[in-house]
Amino acid sequence: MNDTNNLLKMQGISKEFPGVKALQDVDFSLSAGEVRILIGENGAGKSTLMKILAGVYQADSGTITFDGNELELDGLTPRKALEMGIATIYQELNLNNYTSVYENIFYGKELLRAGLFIDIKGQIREAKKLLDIVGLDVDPCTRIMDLSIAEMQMVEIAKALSFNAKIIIFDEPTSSLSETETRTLFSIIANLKQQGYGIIYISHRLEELFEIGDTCTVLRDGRYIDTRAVKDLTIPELIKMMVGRMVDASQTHTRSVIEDVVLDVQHLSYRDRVKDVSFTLKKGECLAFAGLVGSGRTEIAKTLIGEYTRASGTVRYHGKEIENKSVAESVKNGIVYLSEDRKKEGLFLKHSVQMNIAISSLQKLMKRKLLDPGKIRKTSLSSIEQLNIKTPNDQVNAETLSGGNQQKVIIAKWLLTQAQVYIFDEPTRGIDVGAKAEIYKLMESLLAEGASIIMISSEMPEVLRMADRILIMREGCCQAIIENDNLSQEDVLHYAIGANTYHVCT
Amino acid sequence: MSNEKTSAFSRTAVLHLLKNNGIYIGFFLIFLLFSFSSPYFFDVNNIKNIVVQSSIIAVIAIGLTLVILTGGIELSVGSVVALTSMISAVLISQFCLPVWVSVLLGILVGGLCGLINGIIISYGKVPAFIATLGMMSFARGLALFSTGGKPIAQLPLTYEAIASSKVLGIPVFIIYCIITYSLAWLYLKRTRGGRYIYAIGGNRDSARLSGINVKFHETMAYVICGFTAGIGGILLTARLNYATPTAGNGFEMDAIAAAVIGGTSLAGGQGNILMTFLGAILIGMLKNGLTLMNVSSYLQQMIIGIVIVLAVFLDKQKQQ
Repeated sequence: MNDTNNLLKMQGISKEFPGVKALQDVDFSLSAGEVRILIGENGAGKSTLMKILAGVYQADSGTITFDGNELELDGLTPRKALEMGIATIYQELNLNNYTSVYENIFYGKELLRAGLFIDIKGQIREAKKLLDIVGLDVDPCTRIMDLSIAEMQMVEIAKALSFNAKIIIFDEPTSSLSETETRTLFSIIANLKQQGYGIIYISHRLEELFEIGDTCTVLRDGRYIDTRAVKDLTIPELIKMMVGRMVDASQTHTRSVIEDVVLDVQHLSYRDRVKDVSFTLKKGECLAFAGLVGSGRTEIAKTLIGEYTRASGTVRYHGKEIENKSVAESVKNGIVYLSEDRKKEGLFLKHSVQMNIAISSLQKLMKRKLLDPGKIRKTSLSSIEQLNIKTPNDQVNAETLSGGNQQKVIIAKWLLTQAQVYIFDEPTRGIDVGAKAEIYKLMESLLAEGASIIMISSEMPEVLRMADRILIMREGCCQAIIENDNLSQEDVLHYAIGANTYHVCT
Repeated sequence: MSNEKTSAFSRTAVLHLLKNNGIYIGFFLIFLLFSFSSPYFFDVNNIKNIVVQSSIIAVIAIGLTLVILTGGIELSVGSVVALTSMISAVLISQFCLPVWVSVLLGILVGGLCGLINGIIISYGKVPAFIATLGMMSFARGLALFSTGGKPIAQLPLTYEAIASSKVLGIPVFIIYCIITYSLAWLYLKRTRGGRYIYAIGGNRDSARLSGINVKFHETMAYVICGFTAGIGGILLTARLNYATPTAGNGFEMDAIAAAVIGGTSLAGGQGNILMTFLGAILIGMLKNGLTLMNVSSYLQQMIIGIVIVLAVFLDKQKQQ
């Protein structure tokens, strides 16, 4: 690629978070009028790299040259990056729902009269110009809440342009858009490209890449793999680059699954997030839900446990139909959920480890009609010992524990309820490598004792290591259920991104 | 060098002590101040008096502590005090019911108000501030409506006896406090419902996903709050021997203050019911001592306002 044309050049970018090397020596460059796709698996470092460019994170080392000037790595803040002309359209939109389009565009840089009063007419006029550029035909005085998601996104783009952006980063912009809205977005991007903006587009939908991309950069495990022209690429090549490593065969397991069906789920639907999903779960089996983030895996779990109300479908548990109208009912039935967001949906951070362990089985820890503090203490201490939870005692607050030990506290909580079906949502997210192995061991001992596990995971090695069968989700539909038998990451990824479909659902 | 270290160490130790025991130290300082500035303050009878005067707020503050522990708020207790007071008096004077029946029905009405609050908040998802603000107006209106705004005097002597009796020489109000606080402590520490109240206030989503029936247990907190407000209404009526629909005005603020000075976090999940009692006594002590020092009641309000904010400020420092 021609060096002199580069609008942006990032070289040797490295970034380390506690326990994780998020980026190692990554190079990235972009020319004006180029649409660059940034692709990689979950956790490959795409977002981290872009957040460094946008000033959200500071790189540990490396250089960034933008528009001919080398940037100071330490001094880059989101505001500075924006003012220099690097704008990001995040998945979560940052708009104020209750105010108008033009107000949102000019927040923080209001046009003033006499340095004091907001020039409303001027803002409306300028906003209109920006909206014309992105092709959004709405009155600038419309309130944000009256717009569709796609229109809100266009407002975000207009806002980016108002900073005289030269580079616009799109972070998985189509994940919440409908088909037609996606079309509109693509034509806007094509239009922006024509006008000489540099576009960086983060995605893991392959079809999009071929549609709008000029070039494509692949990251894997925080490393730069390659940059190629899209027209010379094929899907198998791309998947190979994304997955790269071979799976260590020694990690795959042998386990005896009993043929008793514990859970039989038929035609489960929830809003438009879960569409007619059916599967069974056997005693002692680990069924993994694979697929991309947002493909409806967590929604299946939450519908199963009664957190969400199912639109249709039946659930049989040991042959008997169950309703699971509330989480309380599900827990009583022995079907429990361990959220990926342990801090928000699992722990009581400001309460003791003891309370966190005992909270769901208090009815078993009573003497006459009252709670028995002695029994609670004994039970929690024996859980701590049994699961090898590293904590000074059972009275410290749960927030003081490491991620792995917090996860163990939650497992301990459900063990005490003698649950039979454990739904793990990203069981090892945010947990360091050493503790990961311990969590896997715990899961394996659960299976050995006859419990069943549904494991939602975005980490392919984890899926291939733990699962007996893999259910692959894509956009709310079950793509396939396959035995985990000599599978490769490529096989699974094929289904997840829809490059290969033999089980199409309605 | 080593000297510097020790002094630095002791300074942090003192700061630590101040932060973690703010309420005891504040309590003690106020107590000392009044003891020295008024000859009447440090006197067994006066101290008894303080406890008796504070006990109505103390009882009402039990329910409020529970509600605040769930992360909610309850503004209608003052009006519920007036409503239970009027209902019990109307039942006696117009329906000629026995005192004990009227009193029980009055307390029950308090519980009913709490139940309505709880259902509207938990199941109807109306913010607690709004739901109880509505109840505050409704209950006050009903109390006024019951007699057309007129007070009821000349209640039977048996009603007054609820307040004026003594057990083994101890004023019965102190006994009521001991009983209600023991029950509340037992509920919070030794029953599932109590533990769940802490869990709900600590993290509502985690509580629900742990299989706790959040709506039910949250409603229970409001029901208990209605009952304690009802008891407060009866105690106030008995002490005054007089039921008036304007009674209990501003009690919600004193009760919230008692809970907050006692260290209950308005964010929910953190707090100790026995400290609420201390908070109520501290407010009573302030009022009593300042009155003995001839401080005008207007100035007293200002000082109590400062104390409430100071208590929360110290509490926030502790958390950091």
